[in-house]
Amino acid sequence: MRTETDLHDAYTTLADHAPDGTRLVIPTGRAPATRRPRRTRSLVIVAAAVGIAVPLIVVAVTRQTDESVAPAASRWAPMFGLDLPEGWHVDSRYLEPLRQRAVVYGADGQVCDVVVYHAGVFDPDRIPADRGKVTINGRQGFIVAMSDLVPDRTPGVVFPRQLVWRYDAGRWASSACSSRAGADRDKLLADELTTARAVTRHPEPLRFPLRISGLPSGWTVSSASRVFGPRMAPNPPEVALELRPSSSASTSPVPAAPRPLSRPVVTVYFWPRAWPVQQPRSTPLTINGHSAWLWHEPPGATPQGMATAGILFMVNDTTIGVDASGWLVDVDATLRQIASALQFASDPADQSTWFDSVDALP
Amino acid sequence: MRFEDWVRSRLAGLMRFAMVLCCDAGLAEDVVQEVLVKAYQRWDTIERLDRPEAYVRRMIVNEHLNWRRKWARYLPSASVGATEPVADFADENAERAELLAELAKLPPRQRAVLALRYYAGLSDAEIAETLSCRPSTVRSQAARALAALRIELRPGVPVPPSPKPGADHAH
Repeated sequence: MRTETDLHDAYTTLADHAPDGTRLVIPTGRAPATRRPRRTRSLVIVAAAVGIAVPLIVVAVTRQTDESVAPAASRWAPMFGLDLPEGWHVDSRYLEPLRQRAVVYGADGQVCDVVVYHAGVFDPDRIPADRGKVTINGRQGFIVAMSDLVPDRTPGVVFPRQLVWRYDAGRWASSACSSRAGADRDKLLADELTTARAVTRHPEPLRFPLRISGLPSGWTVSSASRVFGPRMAPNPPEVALELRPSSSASTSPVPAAPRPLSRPVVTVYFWPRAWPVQQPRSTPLTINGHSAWLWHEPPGATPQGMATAGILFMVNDTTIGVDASGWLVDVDATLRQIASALQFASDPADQSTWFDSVDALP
Repeated sequence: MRFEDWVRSRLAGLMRFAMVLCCDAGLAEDVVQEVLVKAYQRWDTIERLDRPEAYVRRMIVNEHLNWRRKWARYLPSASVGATEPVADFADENAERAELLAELAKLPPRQRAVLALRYYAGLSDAEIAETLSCRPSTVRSQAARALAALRIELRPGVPVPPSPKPGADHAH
């Protein structure tokens, strides 16, 4: 039979195992802001590199579904850091309205995707009750098989299991590693555990070479990304900011849709070297005091992009003129408005002049 | 006193109390985090109380008891209310580790009664006030919990010294 002294001793033991509280956020300053209205979500595009500076805006055609977003007041503030083992490195970071991601390369060439979802985005009811449990940094995690958590869907790439865990109150995180066929399943799971346990609550700022202010009505930033590691491409962009119009974007009605409708995506790429603008096919412009060109391919067609001298470049696709609701986007005017909304760092080649994500993104 | 200064001086005690209450380090953090946000919004009132720490401790108890209802949609049902202590008690003796495991399986309200009585050192009347129930309910909840834990009440044996009123930062 136990005694009350045993109970008291047990409580002392339990209290001695209490977290130190350093991971908590202590409110300071003015009262916390209330939630903003829900906004639109989108997909990710990206690429990157190093060196001198040149942003590029690309317009791609992508089917998009309207999904609700629950952004916090600091939606663009990085939510997590990574303290990776030796030999591992962060390839890229992505900020999105619903989640934040990092792509991590392991010492053996494995690729892992770490995601922290904003509160309420990840539905834990998806986790089957009989899933294996693990502990991730003191939090309960589960071994699952959810293909949508996998970063690389290339044929021949295997991703048998993934990890999800409770990151903090209301927020969940996932870790998914992939490798070519033949990979040891247990090794992949071990890599996922390594990656998950490297996630910290001490994020470093994510900086961008330009600040966006005054986008065309209804357009929002749907993804902002930085690439840090070397890529296969010889001259990949270092930064990509993806913009999409919501249904309230300023567009014009189209009586009869000429083709299956989709919404435009404009991506601002920031290249380390000047983009080779094809001068003969370009229309010279001046944007925010910078020389710029509208680029037509073929000549005379809807502009495919826009570039400034060593600074800005936009590419477009002639099929983007119609969005999902049957409204025509004025490509020329839209590209000019977006270009006008970009404020560049004083010296884009000097990262110390770049803007923190919270300042850079609207 | 500024809220952040008060929290920094009491945080360790609040975390210890939450850990005793929740038997789960992650849950203890979540509960205290929620309470800090709420207490911050009401700090003008709380600061003027005789014992702000007692009020915040009561908020922690209520947050813990409401936690299941509040976060149920975010959490796998298997982990709600049935969590085992996340802390590693391998270094403790087997008997104590077993007791801790059984504590974690108690219903949250019974766990709260025991934590308030044997860790925070509150009287049954004070516990009743904290839990908004009658002292007789406190006694019956405590009796059930002690029976489930097979703890013998020995009249005449003094209860270990209670950390009240500064239980939050005792130890």
